[in-house]
Amino acid sequence: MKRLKQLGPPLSLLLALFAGWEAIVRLWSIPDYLLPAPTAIFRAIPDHLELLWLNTGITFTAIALGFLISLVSGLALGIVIFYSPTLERALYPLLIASRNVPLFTIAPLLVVWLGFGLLPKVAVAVIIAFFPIVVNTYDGLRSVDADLVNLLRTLLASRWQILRKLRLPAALPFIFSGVKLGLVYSVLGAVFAEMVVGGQVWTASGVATGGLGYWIRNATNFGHLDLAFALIFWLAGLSLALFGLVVSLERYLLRWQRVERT
Amino acid sequence: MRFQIEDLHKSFPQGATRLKVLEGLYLELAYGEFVALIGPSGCGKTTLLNILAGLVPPDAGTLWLDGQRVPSYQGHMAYMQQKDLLLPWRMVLDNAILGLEIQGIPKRQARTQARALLGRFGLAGFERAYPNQLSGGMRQRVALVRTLLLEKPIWLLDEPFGAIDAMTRSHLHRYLLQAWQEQETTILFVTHDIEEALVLADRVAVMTARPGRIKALFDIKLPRPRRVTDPQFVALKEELLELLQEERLEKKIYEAT
Amino acid sequence: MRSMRFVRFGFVGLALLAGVWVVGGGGGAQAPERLGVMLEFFANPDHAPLYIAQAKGYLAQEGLNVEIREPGDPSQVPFLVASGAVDLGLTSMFNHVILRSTQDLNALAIGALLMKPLGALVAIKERGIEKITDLKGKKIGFSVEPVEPAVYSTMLRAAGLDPQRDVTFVKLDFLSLLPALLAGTVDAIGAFRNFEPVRVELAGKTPVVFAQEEYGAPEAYQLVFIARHELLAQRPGSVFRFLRALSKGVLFVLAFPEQSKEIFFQTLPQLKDELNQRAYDRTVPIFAGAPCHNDAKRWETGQNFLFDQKIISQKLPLEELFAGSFLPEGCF
Repeated sequence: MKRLKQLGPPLSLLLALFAGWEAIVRLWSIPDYLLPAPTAIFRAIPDHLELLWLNTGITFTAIALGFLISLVSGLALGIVIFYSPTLERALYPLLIASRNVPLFTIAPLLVVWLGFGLLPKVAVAVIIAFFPIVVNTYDGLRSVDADLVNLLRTLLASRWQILRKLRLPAALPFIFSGVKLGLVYSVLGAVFAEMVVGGQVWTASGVATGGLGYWIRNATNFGHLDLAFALIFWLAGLSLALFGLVVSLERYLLRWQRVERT
Repeated sequence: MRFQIEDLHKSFPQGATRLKVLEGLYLELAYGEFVALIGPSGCGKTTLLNILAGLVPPDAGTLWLDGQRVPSYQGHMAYMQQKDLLLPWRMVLDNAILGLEIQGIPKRQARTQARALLGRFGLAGFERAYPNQLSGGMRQRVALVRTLLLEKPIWLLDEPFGAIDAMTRSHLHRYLLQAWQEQETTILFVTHDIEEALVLADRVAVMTARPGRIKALFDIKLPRPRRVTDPQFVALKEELLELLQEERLEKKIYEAT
Repeated sequence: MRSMRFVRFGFVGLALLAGVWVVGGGGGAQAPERLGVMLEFFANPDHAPLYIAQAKGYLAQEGLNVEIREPGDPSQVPFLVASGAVDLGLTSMFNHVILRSTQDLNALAIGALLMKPLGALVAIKERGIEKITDLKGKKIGFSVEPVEPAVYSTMLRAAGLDPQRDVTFVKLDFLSLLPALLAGTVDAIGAFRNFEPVRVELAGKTPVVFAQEEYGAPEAYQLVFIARHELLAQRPGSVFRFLRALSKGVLFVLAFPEQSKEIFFQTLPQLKDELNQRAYDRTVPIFAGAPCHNDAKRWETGQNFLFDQKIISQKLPLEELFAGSFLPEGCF
């Protein structure tokens, strides 16, 4: 019930936006090739279910791999640079630099280095998703109350025990902000990569499709703006669903933050 | 066990010079003794406990444990501070067993032990609550349970009830004395509250202002439970108060020069 | 819903590695031989003979296992060819000459796919444009520098206009060209004569098309296949067999336009819409003669044009631009 109430405002806003959009398109008779109406866009979804289904698998694989690699390596590196000031000094500037990699410039290079398939997409996702996870993990680990660390030291806790029982759980709220950003960036990175390195491949035995990002561009090129927008909405829905999954996990793991005083 | 602190020194860098915090501190705690340590604020009480707990190394001085030199009392003591230091993501029961868990005792067994003790400290029914659902007094009781469960021969208590209102505090005193008698431990109890020291301790050690050392020791022979209206209690309180005020005055002169 | 079966490739990279291994090792004579071909753009009717050659089995008959691949970024195709990431790539004759001349790109043109230019200025009749001189005082949208402005300037000059003073050139993203024309943001666009006019028709307007070669711009090959020198040295036979299979695809398309169209849209079902079907019909004649790109005169005229326009600063001997030695017999 409470959840439903929370969903109310964004849903009504969304509906209002769609209604306004539809009204503008209809009142001014804006043609489909400039801006399709929401109703036309939603009609395009059932018309292209197979395309959506196949390409969602492709794109989701890239997003999921990019995100998981970012998560694992981001957490690990965050922990490592927390414990090693030398590595921190060495790696931090590199991390900042990685944040500023001009993706448009390196995307074609990624194709030369990594080929055409899944790898360049995963690489782009990791390049941008990795950073917020490392930084937030590092900041989270640093944020721990020194008195709590002392308490564990007097309990003769090992470094590993301090990390596991104190630092990581204490850093969790920070880590989750990084992870949520990382997820959004994974989606962005994978889809961007599909737009700039992706394409379909035909052989005598069949065709491999290029993912949702590829089809947004393809549909735009051939004037199917209804399909392009349908793909964008679908993708937005997919990333919202993934985000919701992470938020649910966050709410579960950080449930102690929401309890009320008895 | 007998704990002896011999000629302890500690200073901290302060700008170009060093701030002397402890200078030639001697103190002995007999087996099962409850010693309260009072002194003006900033006299190095917390530094002393941090050294004893092994969190900070002393500049010089020796700690003895039953006639053996030790670097600190780490492993033989339980340390409890004014802040309850509960982990907010652990429910009460799991906060209580933190120390046992670190010692490697299986969770199930630790929880059984903790449950019984929580019940005795009036926390039955709160085992599954999170710390931020509890009042300050309850949280401090959880911290006390966490300390007791360690079953260490010495407890270092640093103003554990400093942030608790007076009513709750006297309850907590009862809990503490009860636990002390049952476990037959030795307690070093730091406070800035003379009355609290007189209610609890066998002996009261008064520290000088910074740099800190022991200025005077008082044996409190009053039978427990002690009453603050007892004329003997009142007389002792006044004597201690005077000593402390003297210290505060001296400290001011010391700082002015 | 869609009849085409999709196959997912998990290990495209592995396939690529295998391709590189075959090239590097001089070919272990295993059949069929892999050959990676990269298009210059999204697959569309411009590529019909290639898909026909694939679907009819002409490529397989030549012992080739061809992978047709769409590019992510069209401008990168020549570089992917030169670096060996793909074996063959499509690009325009102009683009190839420019890259050969200015960057010494490691590639030669080996055959053509589209024998005429597609370049044209496209406008809308309802907006009062019927002759090229009607563009005076108008805005012209284009997307590719530096060739497009040079071509359109030449056309306007041939019609007696001053490209500097009489029109305004507006650089746009390729994908926004047609919407800009339809919305009236620009009055004419540089476009492909087989596609954008159809889109103008589909939007209910009458397109006006000014073909570049009719206004003094060179008659360049619109699309040529390029390959890097190492590949030509190591696998001349596969390149020759590829072009032979392609020429069969071309002949099939020209001889049986309706049947080829059917096969094409079966192979690329998602393309089957009004736009692409109409575009297909308009593209068929442009395949006539492919892949014979050995009309030296055209290369010379094209290179001279780029030189005169100061787009390139040196002229290369023609044999450094294209090789005729891989073409099938019918070309000579």
